[in-house]
Amino acid sequence: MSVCSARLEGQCGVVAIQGDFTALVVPEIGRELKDMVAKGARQLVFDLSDTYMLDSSGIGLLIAAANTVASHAGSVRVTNVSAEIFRLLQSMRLVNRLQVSPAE
Amino acid sequence: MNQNINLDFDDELLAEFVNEAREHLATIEVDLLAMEARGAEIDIELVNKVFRAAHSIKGASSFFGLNNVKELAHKAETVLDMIRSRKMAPNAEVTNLLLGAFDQLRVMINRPAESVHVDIDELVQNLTGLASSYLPQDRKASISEKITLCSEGSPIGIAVSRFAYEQATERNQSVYLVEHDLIHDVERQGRTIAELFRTFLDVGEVLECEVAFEAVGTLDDPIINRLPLRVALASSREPEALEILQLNKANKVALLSAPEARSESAPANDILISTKAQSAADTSAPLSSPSPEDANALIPVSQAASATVEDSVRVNVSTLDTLMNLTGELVLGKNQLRTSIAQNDTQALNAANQRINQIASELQDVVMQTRLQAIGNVFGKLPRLVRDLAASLKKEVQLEIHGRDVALDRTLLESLSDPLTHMVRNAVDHGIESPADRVAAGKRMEGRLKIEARHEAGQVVVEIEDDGRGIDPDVLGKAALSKGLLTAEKLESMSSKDKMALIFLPGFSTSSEVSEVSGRGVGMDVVKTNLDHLGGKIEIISVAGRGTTFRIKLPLTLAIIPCLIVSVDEEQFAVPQINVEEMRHVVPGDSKARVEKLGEVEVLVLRDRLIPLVRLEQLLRDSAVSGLFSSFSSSPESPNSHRHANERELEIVVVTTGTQSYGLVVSRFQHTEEIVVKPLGSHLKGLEEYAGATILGDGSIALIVDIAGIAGKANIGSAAAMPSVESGQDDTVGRARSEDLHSLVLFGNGPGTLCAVHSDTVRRIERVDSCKIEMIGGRRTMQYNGGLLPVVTLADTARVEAIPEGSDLAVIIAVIGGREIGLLGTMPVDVVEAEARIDHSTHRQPGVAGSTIVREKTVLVVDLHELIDDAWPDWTAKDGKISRHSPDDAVTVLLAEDSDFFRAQIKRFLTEDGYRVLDAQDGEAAWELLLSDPEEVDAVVTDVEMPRLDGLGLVRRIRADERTLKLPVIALTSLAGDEDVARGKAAGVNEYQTKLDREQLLGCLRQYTSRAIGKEQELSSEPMMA
Repeated sequence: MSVCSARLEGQCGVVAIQGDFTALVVPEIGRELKDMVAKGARQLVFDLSDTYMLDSSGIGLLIAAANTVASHAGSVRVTNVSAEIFRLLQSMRLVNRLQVSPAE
Repeated sequence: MNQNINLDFDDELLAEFVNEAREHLATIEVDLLAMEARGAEIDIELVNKVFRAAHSIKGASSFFGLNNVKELAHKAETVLDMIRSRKMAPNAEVTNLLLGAFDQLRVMINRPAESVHVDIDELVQNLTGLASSYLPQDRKASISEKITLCSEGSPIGIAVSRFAYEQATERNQSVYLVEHDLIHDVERQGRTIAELFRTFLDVGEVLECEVAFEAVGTLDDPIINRLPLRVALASSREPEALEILQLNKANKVALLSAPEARSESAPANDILISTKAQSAADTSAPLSSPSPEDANALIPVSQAASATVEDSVRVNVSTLDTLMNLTGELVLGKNQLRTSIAQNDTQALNAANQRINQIASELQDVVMQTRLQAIGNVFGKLPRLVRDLAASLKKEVQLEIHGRDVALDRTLLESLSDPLTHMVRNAVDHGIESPADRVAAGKRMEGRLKIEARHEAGQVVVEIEDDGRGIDPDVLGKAALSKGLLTAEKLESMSSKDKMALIFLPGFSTSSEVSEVSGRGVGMDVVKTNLDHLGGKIEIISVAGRGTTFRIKLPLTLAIIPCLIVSVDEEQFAVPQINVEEMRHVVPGDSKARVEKLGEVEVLVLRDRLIPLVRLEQLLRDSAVSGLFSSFSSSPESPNSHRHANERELEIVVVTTGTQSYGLVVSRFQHTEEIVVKPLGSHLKGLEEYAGATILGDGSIALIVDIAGIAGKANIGSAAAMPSVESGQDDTVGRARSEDLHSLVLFGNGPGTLCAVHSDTVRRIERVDSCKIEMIGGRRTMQYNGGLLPVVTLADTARVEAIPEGSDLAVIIAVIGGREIGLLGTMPVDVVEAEARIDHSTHRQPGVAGSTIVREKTVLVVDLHELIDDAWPDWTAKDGKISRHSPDDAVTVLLAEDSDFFRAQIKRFLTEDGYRVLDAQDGEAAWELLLSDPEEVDAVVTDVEMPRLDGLGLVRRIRADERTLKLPVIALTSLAGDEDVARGKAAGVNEYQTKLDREQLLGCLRQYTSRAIGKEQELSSEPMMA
């Protein structure tokens, strides 16, 4: 079962994560992202609608992705974040840097 | 998810918190709106009330680990604090935000378990924004301004908002830099980031948090295995207490800045003070002292405050059934009564009367039961509270609870809960020192906290006693001065007791570490206000370095109490029986009980006791009577007092306040009766003489006298705040204190010279006419009790002025060496109990043991023994009891005594008697001295209560060591109850003596040392014989 679905629309790569975003799935998602950046993605959007858990490896991957596209003047957005994950990122003062927006 | 929340408590405890918090929140809306309506004209009491609600919720939620509740309450408290100090006016915007915050608090409190999931960020941000927007211009800039704080070990600093940093310093918090790698230090250790942040919130506040993006790498790196997090954490905890953040050895917790007091005391290697802070000089500069507005905010709360006490009582269903049955019976009784009246049947009427009587008393019992509950219900939550608190503060505290069964009215009980919790927290947080400090102070590592409830003199007394660092009234005074709460002149004129009372001012805090547990100087004022509402009183008894006792006295306002009804002229008064020690009908010529006059003061000499007398009639008629017992304030002589003394029969009720006994002179004893206490109307509430009123069986009204209030009014026992030192009472603090509590008979030696003798030896005090004193053959005597009484004056021996002729003379009759001697002085004479330090060097001269200060006057303490030795050298020798040692057979006595005064006294008279004295300040020092040369010491004289090692401990060591096994030991104490003697004997004491009878001690010592010497000679002669 795929852990994420990725689609590239122009320079914008959208990754929707299915299930928990933890060390287990980080390598696979990392490969997808790398692939998309290689194909010219400069804006990376993480859709966390179906994600209830985000661990340090997941956060690490978000940051690594931000670092990667930053060198190409790109940016990262994390969307549809659950209240709990939002608060976690907020306590870590990452909301602005990773452009995190909560789920409606 | 919830493992960090202490919801695994007794449900009951949590339910109690929820109920209490709801109660706090119940009137918040109204109060906030009332605050808004008043605008800038702030009603301090109202703001204080809301502030305390937020504060109480914050404290309790922190205890349960409800961090969201704590955080929100904390922010609301900050805003309310600004309103209180008039930095912000409660306008619509402010009120809306506060209302929103309290609404959210209510939601979270109603569902505590789910509170962690509630989003409070917006509210928190808004409240923070609000607080910052009302800052003065110069502080506003500090919000956007960042300063970089660095620790020594780490070259990279962390940038925090200067505002946040200053707020933390203002709260006396230290700022720590915590560095973790979230992958290695947290997740691989089996913890989650959320848990880590909860730990941060448990110990303090996150000022800033940085994730090192550059260290994470990019997608091109083969693996992401670093996620460094750096947190600037403000906390009131000691560095050691933050060990919970040391998840493994790799991560670091470093101190960036500490409040001044802390940085002085902490070991240097624990501190890594910011060395590279960009504006270190600015940020560490002392903050400005509070503005005058602050001082205004600290106005003591008025009586008019409206405390909300829960108005419902939980009643057992079976009790309700009983009540229902009794009501049914009552209805039957009523019917029976009606019928018998209608039929005019006397017999049936009597039966109905009897029946209704019975039902009424049963009803009374049951209704009382529904209201009375054991205080144990409130004590129940304390062990857990103390345990958790001690653990989080890294302290060791042993909690003792006594008197769980003491029953209190439910309303009193509920209202007692908050103050008690506050005081227990204070005791653990501020009172009891850290184990290291305790060991350094020579105390047991484990602190002791004793909570006791008991009935005493018609009141319920609850004591919270710790053996911690104590409270220094001077420190309180200085703190109040520095906060601008009072002027230096005012402070100068304040007694220690008054200074202690400063602790009850709202917003007053002296703790250099303001912690989240015990708050920011609220707490004691909450306690005081709550107790005021209950009509209770609180006393602080504290000895710096030894401990503090908070004593709460609650009236039994709602109870039915047995009373002795007495009359004064035509008025009837009720004296609570629990206060009554004895009733005495004093007739002239009664040798066991008679009334004497000591100066202006009448006393009852009852067997061996001197008991001050209060004439109720006079006291109530003349409120100016308060000067009666302070003989130093040369109060005009009352004509009545002369007329009364020794003249006619008196009815005296000997009453006790629990700490002080006195005699109440009344016109007539009536009868005893169970009375229902009715509170006095508000217009009479200020009268401290009365505890309430009641309606007696005959329909007349009687006022209930407040024994403690009358004692206060009559100025009896200024030292009454000190606990009575009763035998058998296991009260180490109390005992330790008693060492410096002197009972002195004060008298004059001509104008301007005040003198005192220890009251222990004084038997009587008589006023004499100068013509009664005869000088024959160079010896002064007076006729007394059909014989001659030898009389001395201080001027006979000491270089003081002789008593001027024509003085109003008094003879203090003392027993020395089994014989009576008179010491001549001038009126007025007074008996005081004073907690005084006796200086035995400044005024020391023959006949004067030393000097002390009583009521701000210098008093010479007379040494009667020396006066006698000088005037009647053969006084003691003649008796054959005492004879001095010759210098040849100098015997060495080891003396252990912690009171400087007693040590000097005993040492002096032992030395004078030819003994060689080795003296030590406590048992431990004595033991060291003894071990240094066990052969040298012939006898040991030891005090019982001493720091480090007490007398009994010393004796046990002596008896356990074969080198010292046979040494005679004489224990001296001011408490010699049967139990004490038994304990002493059990420990191996040879003799137990009461302080301080020189003759008795010398006699006893002579007896033992001659034995010892005899034995020595015997032993030394043995080899010769062999």
